[in-house]
Amino acid sequence: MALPKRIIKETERLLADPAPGISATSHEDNLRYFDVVIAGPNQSPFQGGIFKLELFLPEEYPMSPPKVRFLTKIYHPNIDKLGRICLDILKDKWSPALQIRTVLLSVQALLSSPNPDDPLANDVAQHWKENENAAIQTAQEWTRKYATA
Amino acid sequence: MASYYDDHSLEDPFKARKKTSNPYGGSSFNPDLSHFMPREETESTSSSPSSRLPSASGPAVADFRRLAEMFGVFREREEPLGDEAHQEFLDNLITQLMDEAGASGKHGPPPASKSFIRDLPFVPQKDLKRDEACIICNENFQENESRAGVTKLPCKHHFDRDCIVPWLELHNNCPACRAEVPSDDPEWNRKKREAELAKYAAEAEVDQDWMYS
Repeated sequence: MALPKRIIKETERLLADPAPGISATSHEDNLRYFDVVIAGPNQSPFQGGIFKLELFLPEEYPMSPPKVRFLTKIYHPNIDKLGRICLDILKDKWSPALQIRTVLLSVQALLSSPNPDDPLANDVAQHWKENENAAIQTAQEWTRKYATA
Repeated sequence: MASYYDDHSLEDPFKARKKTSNPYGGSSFNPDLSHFMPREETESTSSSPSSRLPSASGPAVADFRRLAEMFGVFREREEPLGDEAHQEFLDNLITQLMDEAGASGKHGPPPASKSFIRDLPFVPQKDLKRDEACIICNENFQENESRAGVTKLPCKHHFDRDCIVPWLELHNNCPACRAEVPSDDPEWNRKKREAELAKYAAEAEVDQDWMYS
């Protein structure tokens, strides 16, 4: 099936006018599959880290959300060890008005504001709630260990 | 020769399976877990009301989720053995099953009502701004003549009819502002009535507080 015009437009704009700290490039042989890199936001435990993600636009996109997953290991209460992200707009709060760009900006924002009350990684969330400083320290260590080139 | 199933007056599950259409598009992988899981239990673990899911994929969603949970238990048990490759295999399997369970349109609000979709109004060209675009396809309303026209939701947001109808067939809200529109889903309607009653009750209480304080 031909690639919808909207996907072509989105891809072009992601290349021509990328959001700060975010890059997304589609695969030549599969224009629905994107290699994504998000820089860890300043003033977050992920600062200095370079995080790789994969993004896939299913056949139903934009009627259903993109599938997004972290490939780089990350210590975050809303991201589990498989890299799956707990973010409402990727699930029941999806709207076809959202785009690849807005989704990735939301993921970037999630790095700045972890939400241990809505966890996907239960043990990490527990740690975050009981001892936030120690959890942040672990997140910084993981960033150094896994997210720096 | 009469088969085992004929002998026992049972329906042959392999023949039965061929009759049902595969909701996952032609792949031969279609685990029908009903043969080794009690149906009632599968239904009750499903968090979404099965009434609003297409009947073909309804139980499958719950089954996928349940199967993923079962493998999750295996994974926890495996942990002490520390077999990395085995772990990774189970992890991937669980991810895939959860993905299937969470596939398109099965999350979020129920479909808009059939009558609402049928009665969507037609918006004439003169009511559209020159640079106005449909937020679903990002195309200017003026540009494409092959389309089925422009419509609007009660919240006044404009959309190409061709773009908004597939969305409303999945979910009863506005993509721009999330304002809800009517649904035929009984569960959704029941919850809406309850929320309205609770709101009236809360308002009545506020009124009383104001009167007597």
